[in-house]
Amino acid sequence: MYSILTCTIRSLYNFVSYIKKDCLGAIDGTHVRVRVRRSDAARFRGRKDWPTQNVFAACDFDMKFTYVLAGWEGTTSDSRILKDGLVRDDPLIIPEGSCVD
Amino acid sequence: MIRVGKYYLGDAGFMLKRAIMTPYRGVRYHLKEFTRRCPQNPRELFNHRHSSLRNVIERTFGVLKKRFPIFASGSEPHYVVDTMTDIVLACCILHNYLRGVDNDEALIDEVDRELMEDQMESNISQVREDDYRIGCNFRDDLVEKMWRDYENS
Repeated sequence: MYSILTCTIRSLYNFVSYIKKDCLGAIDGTHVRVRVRRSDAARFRGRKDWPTQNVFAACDFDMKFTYVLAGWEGTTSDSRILKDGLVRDDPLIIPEGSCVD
Repeated sequence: MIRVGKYYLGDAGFMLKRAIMTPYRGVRYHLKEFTRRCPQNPRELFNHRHSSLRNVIERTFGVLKKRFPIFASGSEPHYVVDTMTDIVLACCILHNYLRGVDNDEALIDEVDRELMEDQMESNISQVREDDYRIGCNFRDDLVEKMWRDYENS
């Protein structure tokens, strides 16, 4: 147990020192149930037994949301929503760096 | 010359790109998979660290859903998509505000416990991952043998 713990803590410490400069946080999608017309139900029924909408979000390491895009049908994949999130009028902004030597 | 920039961590369901860092596929990933054996090679080490940090989004979703039971999957939905979208955004804004004024230790502990249990139950995807890994190794061996034979003929 001791070795697992030290291995985990040391790993995290090292990784945090690598990433704290440029890594903003993490992204993922989750599902929220919605009421839909019967004719729309199939479009909204993804992995679950009931109609849902997908909520795509980004958060920082302080557990605060930095971007939320809700409303896509439950059948839509997270990667499809990200694609939309990067190009729409109110996009998820991830600053590009400049070239360095 | 290296092009540097900001990025987010995403799971293997996303495609690797400049701004989205994803884990290696076919390599141990979930923290639970490392409890018995520390990372054994560079890719496993990377995946382990990726996994440790990426779970911040799962914890955040977890806290949001705990704090606002309207999002719990057990509750019958009363609202249509557009209304629900507004409710989601409003609750996320409230969540951010509350993160600043209330450190929610108890809530986060509860979420962490549940995430741990979920991982225990995700044995099916575990089997699929193992299967993929075996497939990868088998293919790599075959490729190597094929190439050797081709070069020698």
